[in-house]
Formats: sequence, structure tokens, C-alpha cells
Amino acid sequence: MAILELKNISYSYKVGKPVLKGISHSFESGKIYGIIGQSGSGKTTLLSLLAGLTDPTSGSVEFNSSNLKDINKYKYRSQDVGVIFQSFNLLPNLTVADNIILSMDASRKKFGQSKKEIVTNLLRRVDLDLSYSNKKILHLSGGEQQRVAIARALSYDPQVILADEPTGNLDTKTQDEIIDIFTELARKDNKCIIIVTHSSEVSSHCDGTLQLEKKRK
Amino acid sequence: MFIFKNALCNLIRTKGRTVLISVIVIAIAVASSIAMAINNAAVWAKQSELENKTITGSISVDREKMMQKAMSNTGQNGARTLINSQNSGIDEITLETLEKYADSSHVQSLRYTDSISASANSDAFQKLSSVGTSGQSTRTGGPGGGFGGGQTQSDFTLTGYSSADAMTNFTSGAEKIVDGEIFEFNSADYNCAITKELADYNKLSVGSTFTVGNPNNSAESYTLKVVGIYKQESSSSTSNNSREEDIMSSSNNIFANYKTVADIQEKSKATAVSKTVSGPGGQTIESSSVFKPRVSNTFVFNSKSNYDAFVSEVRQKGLSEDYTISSADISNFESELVPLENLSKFTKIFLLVVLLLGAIILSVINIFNIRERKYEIGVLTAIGISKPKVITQFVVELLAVTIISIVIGTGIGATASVPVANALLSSQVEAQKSKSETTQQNFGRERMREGAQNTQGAIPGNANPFGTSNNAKYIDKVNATVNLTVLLELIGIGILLVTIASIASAGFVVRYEPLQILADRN
Repeated sequence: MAILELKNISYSYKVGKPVLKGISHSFESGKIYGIIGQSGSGKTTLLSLLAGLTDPTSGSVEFNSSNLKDINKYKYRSQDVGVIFQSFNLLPNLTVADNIILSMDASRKKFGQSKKEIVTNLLRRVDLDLSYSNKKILHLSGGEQQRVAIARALSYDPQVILADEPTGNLDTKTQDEIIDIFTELARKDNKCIIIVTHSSEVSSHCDGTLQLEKKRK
Repeated sequence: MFIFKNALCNLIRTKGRTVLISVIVIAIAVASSIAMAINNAAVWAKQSELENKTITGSISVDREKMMQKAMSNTGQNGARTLINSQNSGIDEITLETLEKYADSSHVQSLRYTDSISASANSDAFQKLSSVGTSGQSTRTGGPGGGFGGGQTQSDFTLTGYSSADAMTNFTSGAEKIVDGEIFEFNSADYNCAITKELADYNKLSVGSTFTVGNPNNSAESYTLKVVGIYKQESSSSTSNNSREEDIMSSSNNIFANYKTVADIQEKSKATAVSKTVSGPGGQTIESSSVFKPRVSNTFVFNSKSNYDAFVSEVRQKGLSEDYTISSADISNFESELVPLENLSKFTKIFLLVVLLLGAIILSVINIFNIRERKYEIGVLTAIGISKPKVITQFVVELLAVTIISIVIGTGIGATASVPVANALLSSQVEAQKSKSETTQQNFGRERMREGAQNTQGAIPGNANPFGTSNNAKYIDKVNATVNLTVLLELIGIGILLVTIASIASAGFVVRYEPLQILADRN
């Protein structure tokens, strides 16, 4: 059964032609999906629609058969979906741990262990030294920030992980590790992983892909 | 709530912004706490000071209404007419009525005096006069040469007192017995007290007797016995013609008990003669030679609230608006309060300006703050924190720094409020004195002839038209302390300022969409 479903969605910005037109696709738990396409084909826009950050101009995005328009999108974003943004969108004044804990707090979920322990486990999982825990984001490199962004998206155990070029700033070794994490999340934890990527290496690990064509010229 | 924790952590993370807002709020709090402390002190002084003091008040005929009614009743348009109870239809208040009003739980006591104008009727007892040596006793009557208008010129003022308490100049020390003792008050014993000047001038001593007459009826003669000789303590060393006349006039005051004066009036009635004379407007006036009493009354209250309650009560009991109820104590106290009230008005305006500027500055800072933190708003809403929660976080941040700063500012204000308030009040007192002096110099006299009137008891129409004299005592020290009330009021104001500042910033937060913010950033 599909956990997320695009039903004939179209999207256009205020000025210009539609970026997305008549897209339909289903996403199931326990699988990894790749959204691929040229630059400007609307991959990130589609990810924003899936994340509930904006609404489609027509059609609908459904989560567990409920139209996102009809549910509390703040609750959806804070509990059900974890987004790894292309530019990470971490708070620069906060430490690594604070950024991760803030997302856990926002989810209002109860955790079996302390939040600090979760942070420690997550940092290990994304291969970041524990000494980074108290470092401010500003002092981290792009690759390190990307790992923190992944750790933040995983911290509150969402059912769906949306990742926009999650391996773009990582070396091959770390890229493989991240793909392994996503694979493990899908296979073992039955999560639905949707990755926007240009990388053929990443798309080769996907169970299905959604190819987008460039609509605007 | 993680929002509160996050808000407080943000205050520490963004020290520069926190310090900037703190400095502004502390400045507002210091200025406001001093202004509010002064206002509270003024209100406290006005409300509480009189509550712990004995207040005196009196009922008298409203002279303005009497004049209006007299003019109206005699049909005189532009022509002169006599202004008296007969023409106006407004009777002088009687002792019986006063005693009825005094029968109240609000009244501590009633004191009254009755004054009549007497004349010298022998060479053995003459008035003191500022002109020449032995002033010739004049018996000039009213218009038409008689006593018709009741405007007779007298030599002496004989005042009868209801009790020792009514002799306020003696109780205050303005006048003192220097020989003998004061008379008793329980019977018409014809004992009296005279001034030392009058006694020396007429070579009288304790035990001597003298006679006075009725200026309107030469057949009347009354013998009084001197049991006390008193001296007036002069309050001013400055001398000019007016002042000299005042002293001479008050030297001719004779004091007795009320019953003696009432008895003289009764006897005067028995031998009274009447005559008809022409008034100033040509009207015919029927007049009697009988002594015209001038009853003055003083009600004593143990607090201002009792005085206020009495005013309402006597109006309910039927005292018409033709009579006024006034208190010299309250008027004097209000005069003393003038500089403090001026300062209080100034500080109220200052407070409003400070709060208005504070609200504008805080709003502007908060708007800039929100715009600066646009990205943070985008991230917080993108990870699922609702806009109301984001607004709450910002409000908590501003509220926390505001309240902490208000407490610090109020502490500084508490230290500075008393000296600053007294320094400001002192300059107000000086300004008030200077204004008063200038006014009096312009009128060519230092102070009004307060001594010219018999100040024992209340005398209607004796108000100083210059307001307060330069000898008036002003309240020049106030205990403008910052108390818990001021602190709570300031915190209330702080919440109001934060609310105003937050409303502006909340509009921005609501308008921002996370996707737009993050896209712009990228």
C-alpha cells in the first residue's frame, strides 16, 4: 500500500509556465525511490510538494490516503516526514546537538532513550566524530553539515525520508555509507526513502525512479 | 515546552541583541519608575496626608449668589443696590441650623463665633488708630447718614467664642495671654480679653471695666470686665501703611464668650429703633439699629473623608446651593501641593513620551530582528514548528529580556527616585515662589492683609486673590520611593510594550512562507 501518492499534480509558480504537469506516482514503505531529471525539471519543487511545504496548483498529494491539504502540515512535517534539504537548512547559531534535538522537540514524540543518547547514536551512524556534538554549524564543512542534516532528518524516526541531493557534498566512501544507511532504513525499518539525485550511483540503488522532464523554456 | 527553553537559550546565543534591548528597556524602566514614583507620591500625599489630619470646614452664604439674587429681586439693572440677606432672600445661617448639621457622626465638634461691631461711647475707652493719637470714635452711619444700610463704621470688633477650641489663634500660639486669664464660656458673664496695645493705650489692667456702645444707637451701653490681656505674635517685620492699619485694626479686637455677645444682641433688640432710608439705587430700606450678628462657624473633622461625607450629608439634609461649604485647611493643603502637582503633571507627560518612544523603538528593533531572523523562521516552520509557536518563542524572548531589564531598571530607579524627585520638586518650588513673588511685586504689596480680618474662625471671602503668598509653605520633600505597586505597574507596561512590539513582528512571521524563505536563501 502506498504511503505517499501523487495524484495528477501540476505546479506552477506565480509567473511562467507550469513546472510540473500531470504527475502521478505512488511511493511505498520499505522502498527507495529516485527522482531524476535535468536541472530545472522541478525535482526540488516536487520534493517540496511531498514535504508539504507548498500545495500543488492542481491534483493532490496524499499521505496514508489523506490529502495533505486536509491534514495539519506542521504535524506532518515534524513527525511523519524527514527532509534533507539540498542546502541543509541548519540553524547556524545552534550546535550540532541543538539542531538535532530541536527537531526531536518539534516532533513532540516520546523516545525510549535520552535525546543526547539519540544524538550520539546518530552522529556515529553518519560517521561524525562525537566531538562535533557541541560545535556550531558555522564551524562545520559542507560535507559535515550534510551529515548533520541527515542525522536531524532521522532523529525523530519519520515514516518517510525526503532527501535532496543527499550525497552531493560527500566523498565516494561517505556516499556509499549514506546509501547504506538509507538502504538499511528502507529494508530493516520499513521506511519510504525518496531521493532527488543526479547521481547514477545513487539511482542504481533505488527500487524505482520518477523521471521528470523540463517543462519551462 | 521546548519553545520556552529555546527562547531562553536564544537570549544567551544572541548576546549582542539581548544587551541592546536590555539597555533600551532599562533606560525606559529607570525613567518610568522615577516618573511613576513621583506620581504615586503626589497621589499618596493628596489622598493620605489629609486623612491623618484634623480638618476644619465652614458653611457660609455664597456671596456671588447673594449678589445675583439681590440684583434680580430689586430689579436694578446697572444701578447700585444693597447686597444683603434682606434683598437677596438668602438668610444668614442660624446657630440652630448649624447645630443640626453638627449632629453627625462625621463631625468631631462645632465651634462658632459671633462678631458685632461696637463703638466707643466714652473718652475713658477709645480705639487705637493709625492716624494721630486718640482716634475719634466715628459714628458715621450708612447711606443717608443713618444706620440704614447696616454699613456702620465701628471702633471695635467684639467677638464671642463658643469654646476655647474656637480660639484657634490662641491654640496655634499666634496670640497669647500675657496678663490674667481667658474668660469662661458657660455664661454671659461680660468678661473679656483685650489686646495689650489697647489695654496700654486706655490704661486698663486685669479687673478694669470699660463700656462700649452701639454705633447705630447711642442709647445703648454695655460694660465689660477685663479678665485677660493678650498679645499678638506678629508674623512679619515688614511695615508699610497697609500693614500698620492691619495691626491697628486687630488691636481693637475684643474677645468674649459667645453667650455674652448673644446677650448683648438680645438687649440691643429690646431698645432697637427703626428707620426708613433710601438705598444707593433709590430704593427704600427699612432698617433697625439692632446689632447685626456675623456668625462664623467651624466644623472639625478628624479626616478628609469625614469632611467629604459631611458635605454630602448636609446637602442631603437640605442645605441649598446658596450656601458654600469650604475648608481652609484643604485649600491651604492644595496650595502646598501646587509644585508637587505641577511636577506630577510634567512627569505624566514625560512618562507618556517615554512609553510612546519605547513602544516605537522596541517595535522597530523587533521588526528588524524578525527580518534578520527570516531564515530561522523558515527553518523552524520547515521542520514542523507552527507559526503561532514561532511567534510565541519570539514573544517569550522579548518578554524575558524586558521583564529582567525592568527589574534591573526599577532597581536603579528606586535608588535614584527619591533624590531625583526631590531635586525636581525643589526646582518647582523655587519656580512657584518666584512666580508668586513676581505677582505680588506687580500688585505692589508683599502679602495680603490677612491680619486685617479677624482670623478666628472661618471668614468667607477672605481668600487671597494672589493664590499663595511667597511665605506659603510648599511640600518640597516627597517620599517618591519605588514600591511593589510601581514594579508591578512597570511589568504591566512592559507586557503592553512587548505586546505592541510583537503585534508588528507577528505580522511578518505570519506572512513568511518557509519554502519562499529557504528558496530565497538558496
